[in-house]
Amino acid sequence: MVRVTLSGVTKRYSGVTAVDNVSLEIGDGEIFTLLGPSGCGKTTTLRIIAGFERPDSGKIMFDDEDVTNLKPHLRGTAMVFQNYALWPHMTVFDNVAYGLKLRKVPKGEIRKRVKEALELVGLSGLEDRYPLQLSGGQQQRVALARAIVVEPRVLLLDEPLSNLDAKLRLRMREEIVSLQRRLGITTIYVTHDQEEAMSISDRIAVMNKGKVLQVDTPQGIYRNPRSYFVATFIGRTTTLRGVIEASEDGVYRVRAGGLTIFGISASGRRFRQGEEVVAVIRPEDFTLAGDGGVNVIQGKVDLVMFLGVFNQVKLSTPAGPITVYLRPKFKVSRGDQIQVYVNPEDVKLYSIEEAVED
Amino acid sequence: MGKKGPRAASLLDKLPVDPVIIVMLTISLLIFALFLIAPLASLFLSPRNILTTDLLKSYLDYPYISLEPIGDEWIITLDRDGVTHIIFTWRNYGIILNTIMAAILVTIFTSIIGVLVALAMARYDFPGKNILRVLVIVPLLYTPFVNAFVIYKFLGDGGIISSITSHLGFTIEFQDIAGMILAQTMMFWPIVYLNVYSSMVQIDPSLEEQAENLGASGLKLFRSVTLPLSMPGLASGAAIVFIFSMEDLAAPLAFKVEDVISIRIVKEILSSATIMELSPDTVILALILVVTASTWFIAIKRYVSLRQYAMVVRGGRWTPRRFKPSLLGYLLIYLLMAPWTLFSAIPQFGVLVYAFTEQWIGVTPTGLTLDNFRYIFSEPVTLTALKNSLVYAGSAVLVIIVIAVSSAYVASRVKSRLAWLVDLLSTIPIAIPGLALATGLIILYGFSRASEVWPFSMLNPIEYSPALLLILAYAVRRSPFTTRAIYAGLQQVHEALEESAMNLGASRARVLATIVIPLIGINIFSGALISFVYSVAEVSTSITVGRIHPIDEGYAPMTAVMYEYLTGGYGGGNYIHIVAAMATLILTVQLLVITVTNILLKQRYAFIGV
Repeated sequence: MVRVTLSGVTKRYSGVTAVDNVSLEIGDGEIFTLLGPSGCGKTTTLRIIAGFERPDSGKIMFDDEDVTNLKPHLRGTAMVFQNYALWPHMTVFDNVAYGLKLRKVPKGEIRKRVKEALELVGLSGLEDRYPLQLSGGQQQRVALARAIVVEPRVLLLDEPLSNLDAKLRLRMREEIVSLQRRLGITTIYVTHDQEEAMSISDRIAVMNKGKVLQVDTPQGIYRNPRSYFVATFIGRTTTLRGVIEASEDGVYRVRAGGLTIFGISASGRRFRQGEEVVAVIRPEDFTLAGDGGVNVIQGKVDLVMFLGVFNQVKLSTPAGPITVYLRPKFKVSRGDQIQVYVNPEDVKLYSIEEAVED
Repeated sequence: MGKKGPRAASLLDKLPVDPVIIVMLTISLLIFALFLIAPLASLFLSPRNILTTDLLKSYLDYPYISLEPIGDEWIITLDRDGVTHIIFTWRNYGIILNTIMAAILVTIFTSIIGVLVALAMARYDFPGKNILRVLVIVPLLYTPFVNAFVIYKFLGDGGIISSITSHLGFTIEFQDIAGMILAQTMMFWPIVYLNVYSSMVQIDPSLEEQAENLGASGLKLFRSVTLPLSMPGLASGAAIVFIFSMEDLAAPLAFKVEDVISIRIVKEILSSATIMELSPDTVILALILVVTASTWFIAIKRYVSLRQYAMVVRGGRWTPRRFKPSLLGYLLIYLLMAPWTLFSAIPQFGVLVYAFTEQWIGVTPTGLTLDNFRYIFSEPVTLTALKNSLVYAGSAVLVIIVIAVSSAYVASRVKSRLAWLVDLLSTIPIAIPGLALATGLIILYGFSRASEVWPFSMLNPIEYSPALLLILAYAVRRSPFTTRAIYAGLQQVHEALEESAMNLGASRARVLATIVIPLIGINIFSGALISFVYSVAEVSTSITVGRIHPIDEGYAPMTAVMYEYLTGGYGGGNYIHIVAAMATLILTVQLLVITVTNILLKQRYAFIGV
């Protein structure tokens, strides 16, 4: 188990910067997720850590060992590929035993360790099957068993759940977390699914266009997104455009369409009077409110969708459409005029340039 | 073409009652039944009448099988006048064992070379790779017989290479079957290369990366992952090479080999035709040929279908794995692979040298000339043969289009056991040695009782012109090329396109005419061109069925006349030059067709594989 450090890692492909000056510190035994849309550089970063790609500049350290120029097979990482990459010409046993054979582990011990690994992933008894005779979930487990059986220093998971159906995905997600907790292997996980990232990670690095935008705990990322991209990429949001009118104790008054709302700067940056901003609000931060008061918005119900825990309600307001989650016990229907309140702390303001750039 | 075979049960299972499909099925089955299955069957049936136990016993002895070989050295070294002569030769184990042993050795040699070159081409980037990529294909260009004669010219008795190396104090000569093995290795290794290469580039990169990630590299990675996953390609290529080696005539002819099955069949088959009686030799040897080849083919095909998994893994990134070679890698590529590739392309260039010169004695050819071509177009025998080849191949292509469209359509659209049979029949001609088929055709349509019944009597190649039989034989042997091209096209045409037309009320015939054929027109055209070239270059039935009548009677196609020139004393002293000029014509047509199909289908070459 090691600490993984990336410093200033950059990788370019014929003019396109896939990974742009990425620095990360991943703690011993942590589940660390690289999250971002496709093409953001997360998989390339993972492949650089595995050694399949060599960075144009920057350094990768495992504890105090510089592995930047080390060949993949000497790094002691174990990767689980998106497509599992099970060798179709080998049985489950041979697939899992492969890494041990290369490490010249004695035969008896190989048998014992493969058995243990398969037990760990719940596949005992399938040793003689071929990958093609397994279901998607089983293949996924074989891939996991093959990775953990060699007791890697770092476990690398590249979108490991994306080929599974929704239900199985939830189950495997839990299993991966509990397995990792038991083994304590430093784990780097790549996904584009923010919910998956939230649920499994100790910490998340959100990436876009090759850059790391924010590294934080899932709660930190969700509650305090430091950039417009992170705020809108994670979870559902309503965005409203407006102009700063005044500020007091870090709370800004913003004129948005026909509305006045109060919010705070999310990145810590100060806005000037008259500056254009975008306000980002999460739908669950709205509550039903009485008449008048600060940050009370009136709107007409356009659409109500039942989501189970919430009703998703779309309102049209003088500032534009907003999306609100309301408990189903509050009965609203199309055409109703309602009023909702949002705490100024939950209205995150970003400069317009950030939003436009995105 | 990748369908699971039936276990048992009725062949008519799930057959849609659709007149067009039934007509298509009937046409393909009928042609294959009459000109592939029936002749092969008559090969199996005829020995009962002519063979006695004593006769069969005689086949276990010399000259057929000789467990105590004649000759006792594989390599002879002689010192004469201060020059060391190294002669590779062969210990004669009799016709049957010689043929099988040689085929096995050629298969082994071509497999080793083919796999190594495929690995270099599929996984490494190095300067000059594109030149090699083209050169590799050169040995596959058909120049009937003559390329082997060029190899003999370089490495046979008094060869060019020896003339050069004698100044360094040694000479190298390949004799007899040793020379034949060398020539066949040079001619056939690209077949293995192409098949293995296509397997290798289909391997999902993550399968190799995963192995590397777990600690494998170099030879271990190759042995445990890359090679096993390339086995389907290797097996296909090896099967084809084995069969090609067994029925090859060019190399044994050039190296003056007498004791192999192919040469013996050709000699016997003609004598039996002239004396109107079947020689047991022909039948027995043809049977051995067909049984060995098809056993091998079926075993390999089964093996391949069990291991078609390279494509199974889906998803993930697909960046091909390409590396820079190490220093040792560069040395191997430039000191071994590149020279070998260049060397094995020499015969085709040598053919051109023969075709455009008067004389090639010693090292340098002399007398640049176009006379050899003038001869072809002025001499009645060669001119007629040229016309015959064009007419036969052209007519065969018309039949091929019908067979190929029918069998490809049925194979790709109908899920019935009969469709599976059509699929099998349309692939198998590649694996049936042409000489065995030719023998069967002569037995069935020349000698059997069926040959007296109208309309089959019209096909009798002894009584009448062999043209009709040749055309149908070409059609059966060369249809797989077109069928493959059309099948590939049909896979691109989604069935929903047809279903939606039928849903609107179009009949199957209308759907075929207005939707399917327009969409796969290019495939039909390109496939037909490829079949045309291979029909013109066809050897086995041409030099047997096509030579039943003496060549000056005007029925023989070009390859038959080429064979006659090389063996029968036609054409005077420069007969090789005239034959080379004919080969050059065939080569030119091939290059044209390859260019056209490349442009149309955007595929690099006509593919030869199981």
